[in-house]
Amino acid sequence: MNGRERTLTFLQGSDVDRPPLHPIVMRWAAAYAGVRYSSFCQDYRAKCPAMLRCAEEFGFDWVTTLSDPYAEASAFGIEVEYPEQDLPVDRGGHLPSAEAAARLQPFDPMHHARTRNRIREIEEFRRVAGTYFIVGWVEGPIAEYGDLRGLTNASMDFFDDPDAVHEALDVITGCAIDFITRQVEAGADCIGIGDAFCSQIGPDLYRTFAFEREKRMVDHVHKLGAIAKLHICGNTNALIPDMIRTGADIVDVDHLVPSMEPYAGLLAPHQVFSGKCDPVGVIQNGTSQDIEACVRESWRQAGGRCIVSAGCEIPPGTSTSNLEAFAASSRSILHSSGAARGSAESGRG
Amino acid sequence: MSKNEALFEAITKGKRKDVADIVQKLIDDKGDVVDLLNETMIPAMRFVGDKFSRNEIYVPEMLIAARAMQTGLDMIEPLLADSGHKARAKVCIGTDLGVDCSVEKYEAAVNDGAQVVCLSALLTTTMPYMKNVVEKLKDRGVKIVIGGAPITEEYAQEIGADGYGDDANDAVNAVEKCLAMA
Repeated sequence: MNGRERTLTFLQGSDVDRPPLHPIVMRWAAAYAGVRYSSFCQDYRAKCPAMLRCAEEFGFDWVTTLSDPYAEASAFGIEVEYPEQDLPVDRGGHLPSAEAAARLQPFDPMHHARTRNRIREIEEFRRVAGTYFIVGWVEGPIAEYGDLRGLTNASMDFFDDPDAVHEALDVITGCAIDFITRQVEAGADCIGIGDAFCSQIGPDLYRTFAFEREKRMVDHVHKLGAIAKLHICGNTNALIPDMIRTGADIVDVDHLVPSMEPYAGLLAPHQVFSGKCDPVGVIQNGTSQDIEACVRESWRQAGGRCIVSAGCEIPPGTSTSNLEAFAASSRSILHSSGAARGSAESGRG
Repeated sequence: MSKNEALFEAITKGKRKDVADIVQKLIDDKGDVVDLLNETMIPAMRFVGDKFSRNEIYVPEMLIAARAMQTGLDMIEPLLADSGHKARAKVCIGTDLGVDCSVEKYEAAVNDGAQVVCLSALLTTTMPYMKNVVEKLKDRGVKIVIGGAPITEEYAQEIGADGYGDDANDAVNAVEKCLAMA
């Protein structure tokens, strides 16, 4: 069973040899493969081999286009600097007001370097890594609005000029839907929707500004025959029921959520959680025993309906041995609980 | 002077125009601005901070309340200075400096007299930079308080920070502890 088969089978609720392993590795993968991070972000010819090497050597079941949140922001006009060995930095070009955001112009993903690169990246993954679950990515509406206005301004816009925010979010969502289409056409099995800022805005604003648009994106992914993953890191305890209601097949849960247990029963048969080990406290700084215990506990909380993952990016300071322990822990679940089953039956049990 | 209920509500709801109107009227009436600050404005922000700590409100609500508070503070600040009221300390808050702040920005704040520097990271991707800031400032006699979604008290201890705040409200408590230690 390869990574793609394992993930799709798990999502269908059928028996698999072990739960899928989907760690988010970005700077870690670049460093491990000896690739400059500036290249990792901007050049699929640098990133694809790095991601594939990590997947092959550590037994990951997926390859992803994840690197930083600025692909769409660049296309919308944000100035982004790419340090050689660090995360890209936003250097300005923010929209000056909510009113200006409401006049945002859509972009064509093929006309901008970062978005075009992502499409090429998926084509390359499809060519060389087709046995893995290939995950493309778009920014969610709230995260993108935060990138374009800055988080503080964006926060205030929700109260000061909600109509303008809605208009801007509609443009952002339309672009995301177009970008989703291009990525699925390029060969993505799944599209991740990253809307991290939502964990900071609470359930009321989430329902007012984000939910329907995320759901539109998820519905569109499904219409194209692909899998949808919703990633909101941070403490989403108050959002998880709504995140599940978007219909996303994979709902990411970060370690700041106290437990997945109260929400496992809300999952539809096609839905699973992904998480929720603490990337720093456990995966980077913990012992192999800590890592295994955390993976087992996540599995227990989700009633077996959980992809093995950390809540967010594995930090670049994580040792190779800890990443190996993380991978090994996904296999060890088999020894304690028999065949991993993605079925609703075991999920609700 | 007792709590000004209307101003308290205007701050906690983030209504900066109401805050401006109420404070202006008090100034026109020659009211006691020190009392207003201590009995109404600071308690209002404490109230907001407590609600934030209990996850009853979130960052946007907190920010508009802080903005409303600042509107009032800007109006009474000259009067506070005239009355001999002195700030307890100078604190540099990283989020007020911007995002992805370089260590040089914090050094500039310390050069400008900051006694405490507060750092926040929203993502695991940015938190390792906090260690650079701590190391760079450790010999400057400044206290450093850190917090943010992925940060834990253990991480604060590990990188040598002087304090940890679980949220903005808790950070205020951590700063007060640091100032008592200084």
